Formats: sequence, structure tokens, C-alpha cells
Amino acid sequence: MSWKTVCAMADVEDNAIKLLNVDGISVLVARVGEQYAAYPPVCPHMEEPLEESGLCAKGKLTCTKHLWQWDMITGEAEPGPAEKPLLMYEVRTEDGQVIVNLEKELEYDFDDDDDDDDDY
Amino acid sequence: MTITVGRKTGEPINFENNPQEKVLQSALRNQLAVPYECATGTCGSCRAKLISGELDQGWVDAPGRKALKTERGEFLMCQAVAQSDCEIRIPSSVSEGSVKGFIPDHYSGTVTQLKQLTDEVIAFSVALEETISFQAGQFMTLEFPDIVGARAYSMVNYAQQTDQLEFVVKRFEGGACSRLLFGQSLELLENQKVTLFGPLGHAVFEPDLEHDLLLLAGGSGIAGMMAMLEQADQIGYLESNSIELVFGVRSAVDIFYLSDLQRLTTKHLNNLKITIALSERMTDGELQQTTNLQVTQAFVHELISAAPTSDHTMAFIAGPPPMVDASIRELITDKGFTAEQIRYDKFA
Repeated sequence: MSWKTVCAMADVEDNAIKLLNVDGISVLVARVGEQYAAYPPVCPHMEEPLEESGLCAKGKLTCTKHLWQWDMITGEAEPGPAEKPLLMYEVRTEDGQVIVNLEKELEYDFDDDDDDDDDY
Repeated sequence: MTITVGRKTGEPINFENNPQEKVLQSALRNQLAVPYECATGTCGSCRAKLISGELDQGWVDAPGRKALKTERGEFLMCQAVAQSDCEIRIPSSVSEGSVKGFIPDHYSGTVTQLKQLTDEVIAFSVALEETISFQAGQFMTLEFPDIVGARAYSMVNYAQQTDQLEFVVKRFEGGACSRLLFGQSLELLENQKVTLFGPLGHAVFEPDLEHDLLLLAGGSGIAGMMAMLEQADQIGYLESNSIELVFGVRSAVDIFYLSDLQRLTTKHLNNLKITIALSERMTDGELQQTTNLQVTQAFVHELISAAPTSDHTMAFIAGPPPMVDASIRELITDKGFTAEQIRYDKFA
């Protein structure tokens, strides 16, 4: 499994995010104008579901829990409380469809294993 | 006992903690800027991971523990007390000497000057045994001898250094502290001993930044904003900056600090605008003396879009969680505020 059509371009409103589930992988698709992006559905801070806590305005996504804020298309952290960028899926658009590379599910390391690669 | 904070990069940091002292308190007292918000067990922001050693977890049912992975050793620093030397990890980079502003510490004092302001609101002062300095907007945690756990209250007054702290408390149905404060005659509470820790909180007024301020308060959330207004008044801040305060309460009988607010707005007619937002319908003649301030029927967040703001406005929010959330949404979506333009301390 790699590139998958996740939705039609028109399915996502401008300056908005939409939660989609493709073959068991939850992905948030974001749109600003004609640009699209896709990321895991939770805040990298405390795993808040961004579909509920996230607020989109002027091309920025804000998790209202602690005001972590990112550029909706690049996923880069904006100045302020945010300490981590969003993990980004590769995205392309074709024939009115949003296509995302779901080769590997992206997950923040919230210390679910015993490696030393977590947020501690 | 010694607490060691392991780090991915850099040497581990060690600090000493006193018996019975919360891990968060000893970390902050030792100038380690570890993450926290409410400091009283509800928000979960001060989670950390125990690598070795033994902890007393404190308040087992703390709401902030719900999101913890306790099987992986996660705990709340604001609740846990070390029972032995401990090694911990913190999900944020920490460095020594990193606490901004005044270093928090333990204080003790005596309750004085209890005053009932409305049916649901009581003001009191604590006379400290030594002086303290804090930034307007900060809070202390208070522990009363007969009540389990600490409460967080923001300072209402402001002074560069003081041995008097003023607080305001709203009745919370079923709350042990409310029972203590509201459930008996006020005279009995005078001279109660209380222990405090602070100053705490990141939503502070920084006059050097010369921001225009938009202060959004619901109920007892007005506390820290009173301190900001007091400091602004003392230092002449309103000569070159503007402040707009929206103070939400339920009805006209629930308004408090009216005379203080009127005094301030009368003194600073041009640069201080105060609106009292009543969530319930007003009846005619309910408000007699509201010189120089507006009273209107609205929720606080409904008045945000009409407030004049710019890129140079800093918004402060304090109040019940639904009011805080609605205000954040309005500021971001309607006003286009950035995360850096909004300050609040999350208590839930």
C-alpha cells in the first residue's frame, strides 16, 4: 500500500481540516486555497484529537488545548508555545482527488515503547 | 532526598527536595523551568516519567492523571512526593536556572480581612510571615490545615514587594474550600493558618512589552486582571497604552469590584474601557451607579469582535473553561490572533 486517494479536493472546505479513515489509517487532510496537506489526527503535545481541539484560521492550525499552532500546509510550528512540528504525509492532487502516500502510518512517539526515541 | 532529571543531551540535573514537598515544587524552587499549568492536579501538563526510585502519587483521583500512562511510570509532578532518591524524565528540554521571573517558594501566613462581596463571592487576604514579589496575573497554591489538597488562587492586589496577598473565591457547589469559606461565619475563619506556594503561572503582565491589553474575565477570573489594572495604574502604563476589560458575571447582583473599576475608569477615561457583560437579562433600574463603564447583556466572547485590537494587542483570558474556550476561538477565528497574542493559564 502506498499512494491512496483519500477524498475529492472539493470534500475539504477552504481553510479547514477533515478527518478521514483510509484502510484503517486515520489522517487529517488540510486545505488552504488550492494547497493540501495531510497529517496524523492528534496533537504532538498531549495527543488531543485535532479534529475536535483544532481551529483553522488564516492558514494556521491551532490546538486550542494549549495553543500549539502550525502552518496548515508546511506543518511547521508557529512562534509561541508549540515545541514540535506536525508529521507530514506526502500529498498530491490529481483529477480533482487528494492522494496521500500512506506507505507507513506516521505516529508521534508518545513513549509507547521502551526505546530512547520518545518525547522524554 | 535527591531527584535526578535525566536528559537526552547534557548531563543529568540533580536537585534536593524536602520531605513532603511535591516534585513540581522542589523543581521550580530549584529554578528548573519544568512544564506545568494548574499546579493542582487537574490539567495534566506536568506529567513526567519515573525511571527509578519510589514516589507517593498524592491525589490518586486527580483529573490530570486520566491521560497518564501509569504503566510506563508516568506521574504528575504537582501531586507526587518522593519517598526515596528518584530518577525522572520530563517530556521537554529543561535547563538549570531557567525559571523566568520570581523564583517560587513556600510561604506561610494567616487569613485576614474576610469579606463577602456577593452571595457567591468572598474576598480574603493572607498576611504572610515574610515578603513576596510576583508578576500581576500570577497565582499561588493555598493549603488549609483541614482540607486535603491545594487550591490555586490568583492575586488580586499588586505591589513590587508585599507581605499581604489578596484573593477572591467563588462558591463551588460541593467544594471543600467553599464549605470552609461559605459554610460558617466569617469570623471563625479569621486567623486561619495557611501554607502557600508560588508565585506560579505564565499568563503574566509584562509592562516592558508595551502591549495594548484586552482583558477577558469571567467571574473570579477577574482576580489577576485586577492586579494588572492596579500595576498599570501605579506605573502610568495607561498614558501610552490602552486597556480594554470585559468582565462577565451572571446578573447585576453578581457584580463585584464595581467601585474599584469605576475609580480606575474615571481616572483613565481615554485609555481604559471597561464593559460588564451580564449573561442573564437585565431588569430596569438594576444598575444605578455605572458612571464611565458600560453594562450590557452578553457573553464575554460575544463582545470580542467589537473590541478594537491590532497586531500589538495582547489578550489575557481567565474564567470558567467554556468562557475561556469560546474566547480563544473568537480571538483566533474572528480577530486572527496568533498563539503569541493570547495568554491564559489552563486550570482544567
